[in-house]
Amino acid sequence: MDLYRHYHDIVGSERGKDRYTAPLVSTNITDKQTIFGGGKLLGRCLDYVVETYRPQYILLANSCISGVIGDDTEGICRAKEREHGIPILNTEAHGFLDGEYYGGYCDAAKQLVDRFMMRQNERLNQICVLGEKGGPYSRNAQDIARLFAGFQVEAQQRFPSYCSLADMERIAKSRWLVPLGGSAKAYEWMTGLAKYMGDKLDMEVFDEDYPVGIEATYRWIARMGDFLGQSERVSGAQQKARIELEEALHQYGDSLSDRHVAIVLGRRLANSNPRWVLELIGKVGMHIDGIVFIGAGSRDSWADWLSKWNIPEEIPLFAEDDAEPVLSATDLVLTTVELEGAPYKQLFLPMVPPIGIAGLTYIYRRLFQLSCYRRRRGVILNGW
Amino acid sequence: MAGKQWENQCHTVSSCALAGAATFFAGIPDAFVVANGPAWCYFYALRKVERPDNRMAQRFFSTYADNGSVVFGTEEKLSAALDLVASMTPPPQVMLVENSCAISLIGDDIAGITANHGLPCPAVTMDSGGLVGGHWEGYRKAALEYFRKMPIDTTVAGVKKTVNFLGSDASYLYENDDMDELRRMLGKIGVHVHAVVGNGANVETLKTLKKAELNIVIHPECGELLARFLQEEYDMPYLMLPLPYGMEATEKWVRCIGEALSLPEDAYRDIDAEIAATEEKLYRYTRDAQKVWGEPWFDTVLVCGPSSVAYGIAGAVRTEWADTAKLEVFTHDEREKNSEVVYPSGHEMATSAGVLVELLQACAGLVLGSGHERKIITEQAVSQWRFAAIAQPDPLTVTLTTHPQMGIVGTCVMAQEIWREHMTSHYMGKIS
Repeated sequence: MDLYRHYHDIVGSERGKDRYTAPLVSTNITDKQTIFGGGKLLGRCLDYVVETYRPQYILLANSCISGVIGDDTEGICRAKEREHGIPILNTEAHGFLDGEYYGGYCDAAKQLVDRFMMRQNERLNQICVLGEKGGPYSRNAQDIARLFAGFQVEAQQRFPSYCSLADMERIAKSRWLVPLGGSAKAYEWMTGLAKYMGDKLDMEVFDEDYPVGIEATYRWIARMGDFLGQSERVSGAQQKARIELEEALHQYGDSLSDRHVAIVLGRRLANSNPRWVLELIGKVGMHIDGIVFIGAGSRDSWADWLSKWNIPEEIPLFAEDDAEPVLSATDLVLTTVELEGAPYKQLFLPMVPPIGIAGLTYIYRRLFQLSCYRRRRGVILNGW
Repeated sequence: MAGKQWENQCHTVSSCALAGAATFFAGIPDAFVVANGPAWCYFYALRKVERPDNRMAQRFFSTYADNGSVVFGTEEKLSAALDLVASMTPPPQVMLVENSCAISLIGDDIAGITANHGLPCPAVTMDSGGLVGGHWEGYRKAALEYFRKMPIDTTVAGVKKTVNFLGSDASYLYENDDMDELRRMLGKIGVHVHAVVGNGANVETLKTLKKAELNIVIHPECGELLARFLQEEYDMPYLMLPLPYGMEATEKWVRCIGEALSLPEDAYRDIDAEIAATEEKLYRYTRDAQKVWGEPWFDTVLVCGPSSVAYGIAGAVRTEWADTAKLEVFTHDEREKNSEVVYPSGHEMATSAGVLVELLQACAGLVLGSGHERKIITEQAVSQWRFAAIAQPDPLTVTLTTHPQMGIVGTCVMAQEIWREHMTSHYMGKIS
């Protein structure tokens, strides 16, 4: 089931030696259960899991099938919990019937909060970040840690992924909660979870998503300083971020400045702000030859969408059919959709925007690598 | 997958019937597929189906059913998807419309919706979500449904020394190279392969299966049911043989087919000469290595893959490729209940992955398997194991050269891999 995740983790050096993966056991519902109900099968499967793995707790994720046939999974979980004396948590989301990815994710997280966390009298200057972003060994996790480097924070915890039961019990000692989104939709879900935890556990919630872009990072640091009650550290933290950016510009600027780029937008996420891409391009002295839109939507609708994000109108806008001359003439193509078989040097823009200055530095590095390619056939590099 | 004991799914290898059914139709170059279900099911199946051909998304579509579809039905979304497929160029010659498991429960009349849509081609409709079973259940069901919907032309005259291949699955590792090798070897005895069903034969070719004298079942877990159906419905005889892994099995495989077609003895002259020459070459070319490293030896060999592949390769390991004290087979597929094939005892991965983990922890040797087994080796940090890929999925392998595992060339390829692992294991000092 998690095969490709395993290999991705290894490629991205995101797999820690101590990483634990919870066994994932399926009840293996058949046609029979869809007619006569899946309760007995679920009960037997829970018995098997308890006997085989002796877990500290079990989380039941319900599929769309379970939702359609309407089994009383909550009642079964309660009964089996009494029988075995092991917490068995039932999520209310059923496959695609009850929201998308974050619906189930936050539902499971709330179950953990309700069951294993309580207010603590002892308070520590700890931050708990909410959201996975690749796990504790990921580059994103390191980028997030760098954002807090200029402040006095005793420890950084994470929830709900990669969080043991012992970790969960310690989380409520943290004074601060910082939700991580990456898109408006994800942030909405994560901030909802943060507020739920904040109210329940009396923790302070930072009400801003992680910073995307240069100026946004400086502003975010200022706001974080106020939030933590450490305003005196803001200028120092901002200075660290500026130095980090200057080092990146020093390292990659010579190779990237005066390069010409085109941006290709192939998926229009209603709440994704593309401004960070323009800021990144401008800061290193590259020039934008145009924005190409691919797929559904008229030129006017794309122009409206771009103006919503204050993208300058003077940047030429091209439909897919008219884009070949500009794409052929430009040095690099930054794209949200792979232009398969095209002879361009393409950077596939990340779905989850880069975090802070460290994230942008990584994009500069990828652009530098892209500029070094000499292949006749074109190339695409992933920006994540 | 369904109805069995339980296992940690992270250690098992299967996708659902939705992917299996799509795989059969993907193997028909002028067929299109519509998955009537949510995006997750579609992309999960597409990920598997497009492994041998990354252009498959141009022939495989989803209705992207949502919560509203469960309440109000899928007719609107399905109609939109059918319109899209009908507009494709070149036009589809046949279409599979398959329900995911949740959509199959709400009981939409997809056959009726599809029939009333005025499609430019015949459409096969079926429930093929996870409730039906895993990949192999879906493949078998789709193969049968195809020929129930698309009858064979019984007026086509049979051609002597012509056969069809049934049960070939392009999602198997090196499958297309294997089919080329089998075709090449049969060509040496004057036998022509008319259609590779489910892996290359188009609608027109499938209509003319009667051109062949004999159907050859490649992978019984995929093609046995279809072979029986074609025998019952069209009086087409079939042959189901152990796959030609290793020189001995290869020779038998070719001979059995030749005998079934009543070929004269001199038909085998060329193939016999090639087998003899290759065996001589294998012996001579490995002598130098043998002097340094000894004959290939592994304390334990674990062979993991689809049953026909795993048992076939295990047989060749036992008799030709290596020596071992312990040989265990783990099959990825769920066997068809009424199969005529009898394999020696082994384990089904879906219910015995824990046994595999225990063996990996307790023993040392060689794993011939997929990326799943390689992953378990990594997770368990058991470095005393060598590994060679014989089954999908394997994200750590890119093979750009011809790389069959079956037949004469396949024997050389596999012997080469096993020699490499044998020598490396000695060199690394991992096995005494």
